[in-house]
Amino acid sequence: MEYETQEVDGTAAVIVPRGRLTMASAPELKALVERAVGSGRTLVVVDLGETAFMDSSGLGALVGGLRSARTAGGDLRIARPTEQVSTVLELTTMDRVLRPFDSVEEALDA
Amino acid sequence: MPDDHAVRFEGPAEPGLLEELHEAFEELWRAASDVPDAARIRFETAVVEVLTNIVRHATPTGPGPVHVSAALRAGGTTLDAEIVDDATDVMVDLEPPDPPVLATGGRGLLLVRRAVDELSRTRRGDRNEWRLSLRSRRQEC
Repeated sequence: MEYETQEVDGTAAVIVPRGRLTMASAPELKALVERAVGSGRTLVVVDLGETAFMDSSGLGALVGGLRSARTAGGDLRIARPTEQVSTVLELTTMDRVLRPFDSVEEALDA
Repeated sequence: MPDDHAVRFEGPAEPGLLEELHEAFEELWRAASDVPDAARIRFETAVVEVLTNIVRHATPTGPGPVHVSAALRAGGTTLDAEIVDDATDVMVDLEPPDPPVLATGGRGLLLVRRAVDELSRTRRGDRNEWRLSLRSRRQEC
């Protein structure tokens, strides 16, 4: 699993997890979201287009990141979930809280 | 009816075992390439969750690590998994309630139960047996 963080501007960041977002890799995602929020980029978009697989730990990291962002007055949004990620969001009904956007741009502009 | 395909692996309940599970699924789906994507995704998601649960929480009865053996099978009409560990017996709620919306945990077994058609955990002798089953008709090739 690799993460790429793109600083869009002073207020927003895009994080791209590449690979499997599971127990082993979820803590790093939460830390990256907290780092972005701590630097003032309180709008965080997680681009899940290259996340081949996500388990409940990965989902937990997204929810933890959402909480951090909201506490700082911002938001965490997800974009481009793969079919497996969408399945996890739907089965847990967390798609109501983490509503997927079709593109990173839409998530940033919403 | 398509041929049955089965993949087995075993090892200590450590993070490396999840890598083996990942490889086992790659092997299974290569052999059973006619399993529909939706079924494949639900089954793999559920089995990964159960094995992760064992790796994270299982307590050995003796000095060594917990040992796990697993079998994944793609049959003509079902996908089945059997995961056996020699950890201590613990109460596991297979029908947990939904956690609070912004809880960061507590969704693992909920996800498993909703992803597959059957889920059971049985204490048999000094072992725990997890069984998961998903009905899925494979396409005739």
